[in-house]
Amino acid sequence: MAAPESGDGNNGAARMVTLISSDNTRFEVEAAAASLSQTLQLTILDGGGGGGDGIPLPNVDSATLSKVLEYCIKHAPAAANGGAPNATAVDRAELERFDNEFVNIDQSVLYSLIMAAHNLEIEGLQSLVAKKVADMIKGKSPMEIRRTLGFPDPTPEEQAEMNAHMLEYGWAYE
Amino acid sequence: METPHMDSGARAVDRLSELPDCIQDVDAGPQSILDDILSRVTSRQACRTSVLSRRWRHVWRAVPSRCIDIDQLESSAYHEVNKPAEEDHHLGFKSYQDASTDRLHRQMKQQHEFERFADRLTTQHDPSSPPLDTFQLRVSCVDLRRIARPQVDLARTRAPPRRVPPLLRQGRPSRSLYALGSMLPRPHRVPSPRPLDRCGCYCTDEKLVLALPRLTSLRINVSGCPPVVTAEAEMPSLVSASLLACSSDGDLDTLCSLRDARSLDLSGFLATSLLVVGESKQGVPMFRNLKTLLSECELGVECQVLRRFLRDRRTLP
Repeated sequence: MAAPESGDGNNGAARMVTLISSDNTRFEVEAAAASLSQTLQLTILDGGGGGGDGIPLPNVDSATLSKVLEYCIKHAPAAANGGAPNATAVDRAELERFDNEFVNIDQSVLYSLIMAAHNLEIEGLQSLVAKKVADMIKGKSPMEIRRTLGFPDPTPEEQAEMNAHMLEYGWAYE
Repeated sequence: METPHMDSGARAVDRLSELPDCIQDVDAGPQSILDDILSRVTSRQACRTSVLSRRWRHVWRAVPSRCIDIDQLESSAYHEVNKPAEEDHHLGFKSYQDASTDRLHRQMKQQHEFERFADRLTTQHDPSSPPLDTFQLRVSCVDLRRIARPQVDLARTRAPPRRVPPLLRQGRPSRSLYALGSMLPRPHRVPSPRPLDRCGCYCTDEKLVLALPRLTSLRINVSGCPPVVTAEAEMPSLVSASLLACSSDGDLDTLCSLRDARSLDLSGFLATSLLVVGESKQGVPMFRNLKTLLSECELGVECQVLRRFLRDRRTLP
């Protein structure tokens, strides 16, 4: 593992860090996996999160965090190989299968994941959820997209504004 | 793509609108999830999100890629018009001619619509956001005017003006440029050849001029009766380039400016012209970075061209 030893007695084993969700659940995870988050990476490099302290994540609840960590643990070995240039086709196919399965989730969970991926700056996860949302809006009309993404029903004013805008942008709908 | 399980049960409440705008660092690529999302759908679809709500009105305009593709005329009407003419043998010559003329008129109208669409899509880029990263133009239209000549009285038919979309014309630097298709439109009017900061693309009456020093990927694959494409600036960052030659001189100039490319894919060049290009200019080795050369051109007697290209190379590809 690429993570440096922090000297907290974990010699030999991979270094572990503790993350604390907004509802105070503690997750112990390998530093290499948590480091997929750009936000956490620096703290972890500085030796934070080890031992008893843990890193508090006030924006992420435990259900979302466990999902995020599931992703990180799966992707950490490949990321440690620098984007896995020497990964076998089988490994890549397995990751792809995992990714597809991973985003096949309830939409509210997906949204929590999007926010977490954004807050924690986990690049691969950001692309994965972006792709999922892109698939959700492909080939849909604005009203369908609104409904799909869970916008509230438009107020009459909003509806009027949308209609006016539709006129202006009619060329994109021809 | 329909995702039925998404629509079942209680509706999730939108949270995407909370996400920040596209913050873009040209070298780091997309920084925002909204940006990432809209980069993954067609430019037409991205543009449609402007209607969603006030929040979404301008999000798409900052997306750093544009893809203008004739296939985005996705209406069934387009495919209807362009499907092969039915072979109706018992039609008389007159009615056959009428049918063809009619079809041609509809094709021209559609072409015109596509150009308007392309114009609008390219003029809508948010000027305050960083320049486009990728611009892809794929035009696949036949030269309608030429086809029209034998059958249609041109005096009565207003042929669609063929123009390079404004973004290409006025030019904004981008890292990838793809121009594909059977014809790159000739400019309708002659805009003044004044690139922004000598960086970008612009069009004179005869040529499409590229001055894109940051370009890393270039693909020009235009056959038919294109304007000559020339490159004005060297492109030191170029990683891969693909060039299909159609006319003699301009294409060679373009090729010369691709000298830093690591990967070249050439077709349509004559062996003699390639030999001229392969000559070193003032002792500067051409194509010093070349690692891959794909060529569908004549390579000359005993592969002279190949040797010339490789002369200054230390490692063989």
